[in-house]
Amino acid sequence: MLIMRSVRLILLLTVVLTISGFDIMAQFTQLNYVDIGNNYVQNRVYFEAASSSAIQVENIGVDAGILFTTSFADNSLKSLFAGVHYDFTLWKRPLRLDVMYLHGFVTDYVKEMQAAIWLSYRKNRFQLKLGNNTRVYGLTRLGKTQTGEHGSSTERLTEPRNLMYQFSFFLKPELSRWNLSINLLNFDYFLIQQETNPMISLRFTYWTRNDISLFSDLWYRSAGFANIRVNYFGFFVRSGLKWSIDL
Amino acid sequence: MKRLFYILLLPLIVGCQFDPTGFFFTSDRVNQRFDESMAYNAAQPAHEIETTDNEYQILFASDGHVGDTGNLSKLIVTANQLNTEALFFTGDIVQGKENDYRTLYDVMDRSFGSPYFMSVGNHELYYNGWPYYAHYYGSSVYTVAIKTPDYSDLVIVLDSGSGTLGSNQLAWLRDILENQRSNYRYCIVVHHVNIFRTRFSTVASPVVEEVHELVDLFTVNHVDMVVMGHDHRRIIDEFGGTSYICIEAFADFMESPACMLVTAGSDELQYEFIGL
Repeated sequence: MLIMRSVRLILLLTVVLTISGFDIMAQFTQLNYVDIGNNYVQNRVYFEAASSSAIQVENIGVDAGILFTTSFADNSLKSLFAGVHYDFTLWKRPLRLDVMYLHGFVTDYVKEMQAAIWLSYRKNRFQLKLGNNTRVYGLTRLGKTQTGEHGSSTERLTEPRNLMYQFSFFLKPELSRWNLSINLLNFDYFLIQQETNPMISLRFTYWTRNDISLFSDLWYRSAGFANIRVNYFGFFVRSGLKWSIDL
Repeated sequence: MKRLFYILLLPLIVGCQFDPTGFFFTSDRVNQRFDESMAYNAAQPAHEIETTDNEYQILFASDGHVGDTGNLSKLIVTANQLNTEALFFTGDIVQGKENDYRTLYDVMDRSFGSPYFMSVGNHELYYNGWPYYAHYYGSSVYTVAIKTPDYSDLVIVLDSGSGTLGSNQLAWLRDILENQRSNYRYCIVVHHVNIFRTRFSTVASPVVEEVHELVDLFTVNHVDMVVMGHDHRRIIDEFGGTSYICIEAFADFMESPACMLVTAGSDELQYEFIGL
């Protein structure tokens, strides 16, 4: 219900701003990418495709995204998100605040709902994102029926606090035609790992025009870092396109 | 200055009760340990315990961190007094050095009369500990069937010492639960690492996709109880009909060491914590 309301709100804002937004600064951004990877849970090559749209008016923006996967046997829809962000300056430092709701269709029995908030700051070649998310595991309607847990206190489980972080270093300054960044992070567009499970990614970005960029990532994932027994978990490669249109 | 830094760092590393090299690389791999465990299991008879009554008791204890054996001795006394059918260790029972394994093995062999079952936590693997574990206990992934006059119950012992079960162990677990769970009355899973993070914790959990897979498997296949450790404190969560219980450590450095007694009754599994 919340997802449908968020999607409706974003669509409405998009139309209204497109029609009436000629005298204000507005930008529409479309992001699409595909992932190909392998990990211990899938144990075979999997494909994922994501699409997200964002519209920014002055310093406020809304965005929404959808992720499809080949991981599931009988359902390809994996996750949806809807978010709001706000650009502002504090002590002469440009900051961005993001708030997001992420809904995961885990299995036929289990779903996952997450709320996240984080702050982003970039200076020269460094970028830092820090935030927190709350994760709620819930039984789906089928899960409640099959387990007989309908209405019981065990149909939900909440993980209230989890640190979200991203540390990035860019090889070249911000407005370069191409760039390479290395990132240590525990969250992505549709995935928020526990704080003790960091991921490493390498991103190459190339601007074909001022408004279109192509990017390619290599992600390495491990488990057991906080166990001091680090073990390979998986990897994936990503290719995508980001297109920003001034309205 | 640089030399001073290394001089100051060295005793810290040497004095640590863990193996800091594990932040960056490990000599063993979970898939490799699973394969070795399966080869060992194939050469041994399956673990079975027979009880004379449908109702029985088993004991669980976690994070003993032997070397020191003060609380281990108390645990053995408690287990012998309760006359439990078996004692299950849920990982980090030793620090990982060969001497610790030998100490544990000797103390248990000398003082404990019932069967006991080990599992691998991260500490069992420190200081290249896996070969010692394999030498003394053989397998880190196995099942124990508890046969009562009218029922059979199943305990599945998993190896989560690396923070992940790995692809082979996950496939094995999936197969056991999907194809054998219905043959048993109760099903208990032993998993060292705490699966959920309902309380703030600085220690590892399985990565999110693995949590999804495990929670789904346990929910769909009506696993009654998952017994964990690693956090050194008692955490009880319930989800989808499964009790996820993290038991406190019984190591000598704990202020309130405890173990958990599980009673398999006619209707349900009941648990209580016993201080040492």
